[in-house]
Amino acid sequence: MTDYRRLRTQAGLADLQAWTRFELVGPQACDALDAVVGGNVRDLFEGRAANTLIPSSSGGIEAIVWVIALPENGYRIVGEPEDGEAVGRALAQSVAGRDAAIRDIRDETFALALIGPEAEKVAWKAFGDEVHSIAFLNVMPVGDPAVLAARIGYFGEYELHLFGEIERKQSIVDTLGKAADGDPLVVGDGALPTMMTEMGTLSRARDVPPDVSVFEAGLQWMIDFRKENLRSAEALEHEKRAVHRKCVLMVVDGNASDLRRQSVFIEDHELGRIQSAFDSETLGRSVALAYLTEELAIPGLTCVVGPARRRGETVSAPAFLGRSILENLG
Amino acid sequence: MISTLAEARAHAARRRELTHRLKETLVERLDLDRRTDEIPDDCLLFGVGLGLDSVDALEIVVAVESEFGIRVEDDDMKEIRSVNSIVDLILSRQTPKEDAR
Repeated sequence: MTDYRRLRTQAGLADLQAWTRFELVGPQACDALDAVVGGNVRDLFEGRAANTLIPSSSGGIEAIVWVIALPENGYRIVGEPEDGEAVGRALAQSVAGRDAAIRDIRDETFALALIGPEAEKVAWKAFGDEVHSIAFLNVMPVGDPAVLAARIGYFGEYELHLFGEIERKQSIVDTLGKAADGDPLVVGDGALPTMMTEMGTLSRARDVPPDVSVFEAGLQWMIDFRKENLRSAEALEHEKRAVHRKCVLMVVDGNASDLRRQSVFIEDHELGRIQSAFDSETLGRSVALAYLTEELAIPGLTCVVGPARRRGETVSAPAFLGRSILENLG
Repeated sequence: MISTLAEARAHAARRRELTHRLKETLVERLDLDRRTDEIPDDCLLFGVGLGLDSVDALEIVVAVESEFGIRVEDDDMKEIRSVNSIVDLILSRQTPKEDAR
């Protein structure tokens, strides 16, 4: 069984050690964080998580992050591996002059993600009934000694992200392995980009070129435009009225290996280009994210892609509903 | 299947009008503290995205049925997940004549 199939049909444990993790603490930590991210941190209560982004000075995206509110004016900021420097720099600038402190905790903590339709069952066997009380976007300690468990999501299945001291990583992996009744649980990270793309979940590093605005990427929902201290507010307001292309999910015939940067056409009219593409085992075709001219960046079009003129379609995201979601819908 | 440029432009115009109407309906009926241009077409409605809940889902069904003149069945609930997916549902149920009203 492939890692992908395991994550979509059973449960797998992905090691996200390389992902960015910062801790922000202090009486003015909320002010410092709220001045950096687009979301409204002041409305984020302890034990809750929010998906937001750090706008760039030009109205683009410096990083896509999860913000987790912890007790005693504490926050954890989680992001993609490539964005550690940008997140650290933005937070350090905001903390300066405020009663708050920032710490890069990537090396001293572990980050694991238990993913899949059977993942909640595995977590329950490992940590007990309290796992069932962690609703989506909620965060709480589980186990004894406790690790931080967060129901945040990238892949369209049940996901439980676990954070703790690096010394405890192997014992947590072992505990979860036993809870999986001996089934191989640990997976590589190779299937994760495919799963993100199938759901239309964007990676800043992979899917958002530097000259693409928040609005062209379709991530303006991560921003509270009524915040008085909104970072890059003027640039964002300008970009709102200057959308020339939009990110669209596509399904394309054949394999994904040579789709990146390929042009997308209707008849001989070029609509834009594929940004990233992966082979989807579920669909038996490729899934891709493309930036297409704003006028025609809509689902429901049949296009041709690249010089081989492969057939493709623009579709609504997600490309399909994961088993965890379908079972939840009954 | 929409595969010519003329068909694509006509489809895009129709879809854009429906999408805008749907966003206006959602903002008004759910009292969202957002402008329509702050809601991406593929934005998820529940959990992340707009952060709506199951009560909002029922309000969306009522709003879509009354505003767009279609019937939303129980089996359709899985389509109520983003602006685009609801527009897909409306388009699949509406005849061009109904949409032109």
